[in-house]
Amino acid sequence: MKEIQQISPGIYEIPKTYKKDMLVPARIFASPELLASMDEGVFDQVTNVACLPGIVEAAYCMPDGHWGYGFPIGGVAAFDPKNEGVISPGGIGFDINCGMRLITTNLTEDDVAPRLHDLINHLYARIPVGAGQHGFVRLDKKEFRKVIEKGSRWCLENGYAEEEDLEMTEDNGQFKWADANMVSDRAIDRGYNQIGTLGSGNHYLEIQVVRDENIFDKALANAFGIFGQNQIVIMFHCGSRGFGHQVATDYLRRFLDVMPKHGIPIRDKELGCAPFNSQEGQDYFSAMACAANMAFANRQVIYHRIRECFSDIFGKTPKDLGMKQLYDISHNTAKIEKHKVKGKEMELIVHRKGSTRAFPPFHPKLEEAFQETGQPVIIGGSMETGSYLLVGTDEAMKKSWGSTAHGSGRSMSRHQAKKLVRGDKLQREMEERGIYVKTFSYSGLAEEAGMAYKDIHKVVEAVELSGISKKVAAFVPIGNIKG
Amino acid sequence: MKKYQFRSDIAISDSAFYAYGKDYAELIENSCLALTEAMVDTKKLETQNSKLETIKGKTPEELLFNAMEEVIYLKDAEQLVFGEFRCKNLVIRPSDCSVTLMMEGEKIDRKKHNAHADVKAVTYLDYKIEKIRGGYRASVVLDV
Repeated sequence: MKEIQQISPGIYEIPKTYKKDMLVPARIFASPELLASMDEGVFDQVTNVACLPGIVEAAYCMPDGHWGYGFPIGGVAAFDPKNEGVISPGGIGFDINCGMRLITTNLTEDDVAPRLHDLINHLYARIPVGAGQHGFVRLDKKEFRKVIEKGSRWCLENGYAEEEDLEMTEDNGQFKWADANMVSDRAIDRGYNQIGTLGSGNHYLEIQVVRDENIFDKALANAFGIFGQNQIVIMFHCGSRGFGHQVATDYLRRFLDVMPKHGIPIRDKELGCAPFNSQEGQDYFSAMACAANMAFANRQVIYHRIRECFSDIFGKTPKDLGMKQLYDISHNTAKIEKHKVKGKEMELIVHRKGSTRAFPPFHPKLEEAFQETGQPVIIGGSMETGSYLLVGTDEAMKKSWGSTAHGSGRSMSRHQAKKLVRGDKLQREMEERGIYVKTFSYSGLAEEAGMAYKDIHKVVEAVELSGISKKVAAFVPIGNIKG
Repeated sequence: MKKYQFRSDIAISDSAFYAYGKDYAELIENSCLALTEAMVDTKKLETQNSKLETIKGKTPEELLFNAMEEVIYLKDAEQLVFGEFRCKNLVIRPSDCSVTLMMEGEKIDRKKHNAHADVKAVTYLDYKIEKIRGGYRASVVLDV
């Protein structure tokens, strides 16, 4: 695209003259290589976002960006509620509060290797994965309504959490503005059976190793409880399951009906939106918070089950195994945040869809444990390439509303990946390379082949190039469960 | 006329298909079948459970969207998947469309049904119904 120009290292801009009705420019965070390989849909979608009412500064896309619904995956945008700023389900994603949790241990690869198959098989047996699975936490709908308002706090009250788990979760695992009355019965019907399910597709639970050569900032790594020496960490990725999807669908439909009333043209149905301060906007914000809390609770109970599984296999308490949650952070939400705009502090509604918050040291919203370090950022790669831990920076606050990438980003369709890869063969090859994957579906496994994703190392290089986050450590996978 | 065809040119992180039908009723049936095929091997489904639902919409597009949404809802709410769909009492009128959708299937058994993906939503991305020679074609992208 000839209109796109580099404005600083790792940041490219499409001017607001590119498309009629653009209110701000669009900015893409990428290396030259990643930019060249981005699909055209990204540019179309991010420039559509730039047309939304009340948008401030620019519409952003992260280096792992690819075609999504409404916003591109990797999309970030902030809106001023006092200037007709909107809230848009497409800017959050169907899987509300899809996110990552990282746990450190005092185990090493030598401790785990002899029992790896047992461990993975046990996790697979105890944590439901895949379509149509019932969660291992049995609730009725009345109790589920409490879960979606309390999030991780419900887990603490019901024996699925320790206080320190909540302390190391974004917003202590509870978006307090949640209101279960804003959620449809259909969403409740879909969600109440799903607490304690990992899901499928690109959702996973992975056992990873920290090798000495993969520690990039020793002081920060140590502050986070990462010591290298083939230390074992656990990472998992999942969200609000069918519940979040129904909330998003319900409100997208509702917004499309009221957009004419608010004088907002429908450029793309997936960019359905409503003024944040409208009744519809506020209702959705409360419902979105319910879905976010469901995801926090889901990840919390899964973590609880992981602790039990490790304890079963290694014959020690989770405490003796040094199991500690480093952080749980979302990559699909909208939140009210204070940011500086042309030197003036403003309250904005910041949308991150396939993008991780990346707050710097001493940010007032950060947990006490991260005041000196900055916020941990967990970026998941494909099951073959491994993942990264980074940290938030001041540059992120200046350039991207305190946001960074969330993963590798797909580069090939699921359908195409299944044509090129045989899942059973891939499983064998991965095991030969030292990664034991337990999956139900070989077809699903083929879809998740590493070749279907962008190179995570290049994505991380790109975020460092623009300074919006900084590498701390990389993790090598040795075991994985997938739906 | 084939019933459906999966696409790889769009929605790389999810699932997309064209569904076909000689009329709207067949289009709805084949779209629901394609959606189910995105999740399980529909040939392995037996008919142990039946569901009868009245679906409504302001347009044929909305009617089809709502029919597919019902299939997804039942998969999560009741763990049911269906291999057979039949439309009865189809009404297509301006701002007033409806159909009685009969669904035959069973409780999802991921081993028996070779479950391979979990469809979570129908999206509006590239969503349309087009008139083609011999009938209609629906373009559908699913969030997986």
